[in-house]
Amino acid sequence: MNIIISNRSKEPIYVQIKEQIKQSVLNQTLHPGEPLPSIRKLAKELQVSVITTKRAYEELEREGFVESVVGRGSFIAGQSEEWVREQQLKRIEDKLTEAVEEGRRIGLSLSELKEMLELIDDQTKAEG
Amino acid sequence: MEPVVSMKNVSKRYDRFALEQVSLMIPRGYLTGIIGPNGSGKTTLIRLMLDLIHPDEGEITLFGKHLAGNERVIKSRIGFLFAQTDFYGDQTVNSMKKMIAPFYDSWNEATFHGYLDRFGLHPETKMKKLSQGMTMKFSLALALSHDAELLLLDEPTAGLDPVFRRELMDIFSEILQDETKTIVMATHNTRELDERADFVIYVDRGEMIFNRPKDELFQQYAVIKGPRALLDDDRKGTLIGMRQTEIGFHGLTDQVSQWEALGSDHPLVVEKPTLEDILYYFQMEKRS
Repeated sequence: MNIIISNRSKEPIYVQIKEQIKQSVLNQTLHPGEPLPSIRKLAKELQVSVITTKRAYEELEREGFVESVVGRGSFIAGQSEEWVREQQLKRIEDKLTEAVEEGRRIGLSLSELKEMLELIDDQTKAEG
Repeated sequence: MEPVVSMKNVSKRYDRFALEQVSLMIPRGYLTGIIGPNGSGKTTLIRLMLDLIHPDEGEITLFGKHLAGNERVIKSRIGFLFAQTDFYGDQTVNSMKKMIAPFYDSWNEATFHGYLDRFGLHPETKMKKLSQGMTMKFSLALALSHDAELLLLDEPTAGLDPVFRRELMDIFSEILQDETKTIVMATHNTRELDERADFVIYVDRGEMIFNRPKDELFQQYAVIKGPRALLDDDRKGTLIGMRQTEIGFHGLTDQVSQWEALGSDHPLVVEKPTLEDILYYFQMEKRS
């Protein structure tokens, strides 16, 4: 996992930390059950205050990405898998929406679009 | 949790300066910075905490206890440092240490020598041969070598170059890996606190203006710079310490969203402040 923060950015540092950990979960460099550095260790490595990393972890916990076990530290939560799946589906949905709208604009019918989709599916299977 | 330092309605009056009715709490496990202009009372606060001077009114406790009657026990849990400490010039680093170490029950010789190495201090150098910066490093080595739970530091970065100042902040972060340790530092070099401070206490002319988490301050305030044409009475009212020149205005605001709402149609800059910005504009506001 990499966390790169900017002290000059207008985005609060705890938000930068939080978003980058979520990004690592999404692109699966961090997996459920994997331990995160302690709040104080992370503050030291990033050269920021303890309160800052604490806030990032607290929000990740509230959003269900991180679980903290007293005496054992913080871990990527199991339920983050659902979120990853959701995000992946959403990304496909977005792309399909774009295709549907684009098709409508040039007068393509839904059945023509479906046909196109099946064709692409066949082609990419053959290539893959 | 019990605060490490607690002050209730503390006043200390001198002929030309008075600290009035200060109440504050410093939590365990964090770095608290004390900032403020020259002569604002930063050093007086630290001296009061260390019981080097006694309050005229009010109550001070350390680790939940009054100093009186617990002096030896409490003081051995504290590491302190002053910007102007007079050491004996003819003593060497090592002999000076020998005079001071016995005051601490938990003095750790290995830790001390570790810091000497790290700071580039030779044990046989005479104190009078040390530069201001090296003397400061010696003071730091003393303060950090008896496993103190509370570090009370007055201008610990004075006379130190920027690279070492940063290294020192790394050492503070290392110390704070142990969540029972607490660091309090009064300083002019707010740059270091911008990144590492958990809490900031701002004092001005003997009055405590605030004691707040630093992240909160940075979220609440922003520096605004823009053309004078944007300054109607309403907007002027949202600016702290506003300055105008012929080519524009600048000021601090705690109503960030109102300025951001003006959007990108105007040549407007909305910047995250530094502690120095906050200090500066608060001072300008007071003067106007």
